[in-house]
Amino acid sequence: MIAYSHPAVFMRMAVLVQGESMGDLLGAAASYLMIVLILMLIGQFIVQIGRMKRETLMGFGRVAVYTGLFALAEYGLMMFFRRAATGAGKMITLGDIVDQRMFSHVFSQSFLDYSFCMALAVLETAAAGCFFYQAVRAKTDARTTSKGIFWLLMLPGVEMSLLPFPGCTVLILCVVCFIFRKKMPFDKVRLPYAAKAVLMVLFAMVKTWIAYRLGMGA
Amino acid sequence: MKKRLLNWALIALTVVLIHDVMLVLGCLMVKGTVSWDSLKTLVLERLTMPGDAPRYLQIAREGYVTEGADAINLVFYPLYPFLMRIFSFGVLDLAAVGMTISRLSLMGAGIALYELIKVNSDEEAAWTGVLMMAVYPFSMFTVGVYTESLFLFLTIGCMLAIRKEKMPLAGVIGFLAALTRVQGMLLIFPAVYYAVAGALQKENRRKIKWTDAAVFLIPMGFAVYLMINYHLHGNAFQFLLYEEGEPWYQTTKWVGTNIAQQYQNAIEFAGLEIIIYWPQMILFFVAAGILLVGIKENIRMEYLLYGAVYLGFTYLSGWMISGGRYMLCCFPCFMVLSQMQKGRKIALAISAVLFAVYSYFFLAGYAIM
Repeated sequence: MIAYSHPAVFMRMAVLVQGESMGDLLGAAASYLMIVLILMLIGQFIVQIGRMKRETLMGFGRVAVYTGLFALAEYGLMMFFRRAATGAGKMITLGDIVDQRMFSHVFSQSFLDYSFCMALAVLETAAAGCFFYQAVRAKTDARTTSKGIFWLLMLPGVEMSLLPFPGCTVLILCVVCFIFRKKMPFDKVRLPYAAKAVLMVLFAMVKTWIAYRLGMGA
Repeated sequence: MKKRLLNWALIALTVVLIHDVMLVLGCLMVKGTVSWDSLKTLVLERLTMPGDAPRYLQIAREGYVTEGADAINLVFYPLYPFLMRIFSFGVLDLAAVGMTISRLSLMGAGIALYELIKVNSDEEAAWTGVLMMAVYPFSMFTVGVYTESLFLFLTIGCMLAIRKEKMPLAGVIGFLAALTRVQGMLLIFPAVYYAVAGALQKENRRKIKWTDAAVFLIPMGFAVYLMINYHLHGNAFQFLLYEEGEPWYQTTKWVGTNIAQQYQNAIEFAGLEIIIYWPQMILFFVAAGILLVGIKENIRMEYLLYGAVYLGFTYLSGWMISGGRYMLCCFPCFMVLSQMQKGRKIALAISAVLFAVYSYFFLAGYAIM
């Protein structure tokens, strides 16, 4: 997430989300999955030769899967809102916003493939998540840490990809957690899984809707 | 030993019978009747005439030609048509010989997969893996004039040899696999990994032996194919030029780009989406997901590595239309599914239903290639 907020990454993210079709979204998901698979296999090799704990690799894997699912849901919701608003089936993208306002000349000259860049950006989020995982894991168990990451991803403000001022909420939380290495507060929430899932979907819908409205300049 | 042989016979019979039952049911649904003639017609029409089958038959009959429209047959690897030619003894019907080779190879693949899974797991898991392979949704190709069965047999056999540390044997089988399909040379990855990781690990360390070098026979199979290209056309990579042209238009592109393109094709070519494009796209995600589950379930790395490079390599192919068939040979997925703690019976049931549906589509003449 810290990497996510880096200007260079942010700009690349802006390039990639201009890919407006469902095909690009699927392509990005495929790229992401392929890269995660390769990295996990490399991780498994490191585990096999005794240089990393298997539990750590599994933790990283969970972070990568959560982040991927989160990104997929986020982009899916963007498309849903765009479709609901315009009926055109066009995805609301950071490209739409940023292109018009700031960096159109940079993006129009980009040679990068949208779907690959999208995958790369999500991967960077996952990588940052893994560092975060390591930091929090030092003070609590693996499962709780993973759950913390999951809740963190669902927070309002994480959809920084839609805004030119990326992820302040998450960034602050990350820094605070990194410094104090405290247990995530969300672990105290005791609800059935179904209720948590509904809450998460509601969270995601509300925050994406807000971001959408902001993005459209409304 | 007697029990083992009995088990092998049972596996061989099961994997072939599943397809024969489907052929009979398909005949009833497609032709409206089941008789020797109708069955024979269906088998000829669907297992020897569509897709790549006529090209393999032509290579077996005439070899590679250097001029005319059939020169593009060079893109097909030589081992399978070579075996057809040899075992026809110059008199037998090539299509019948081709289907017999496929059936025998399918039996061999079933037995080899059973043995491979049993090295690390129980009998139930081994049987589940074999059934997974047999009822894979696009497995009707395994009894036709296609390379799928032979390739499966050789690749699983090579992996079994690696696992049992019979590296010279693995090298020879891998060499033959690389002469059957381009993906055969990918077996070098698990073979080298087995030797290197075994030597590096802290516990149960295995020293690299000089016989391990035999695994470098595997890419030699591909080298022989390149030499055939060079001998016939003066260009070792002539097959790539043919693949880029009509009717395949295949070039190498990144996985994500290809998936995005397949989605566009699914929209553009209405009617083919459920037959070709959606299954291909879904299979990519399902296979990648299964391999990730394999890491979680601590399945051996050689298998997962082969599965991953096979998956990645296969989906690098631009304008792919046979993804369903190609993924049949990604056997590590069957191994992972069969060794899952939960859900393997559900996975088997889903696969069986899809097998029935897509076998019907295939036998009814839909463009499953």
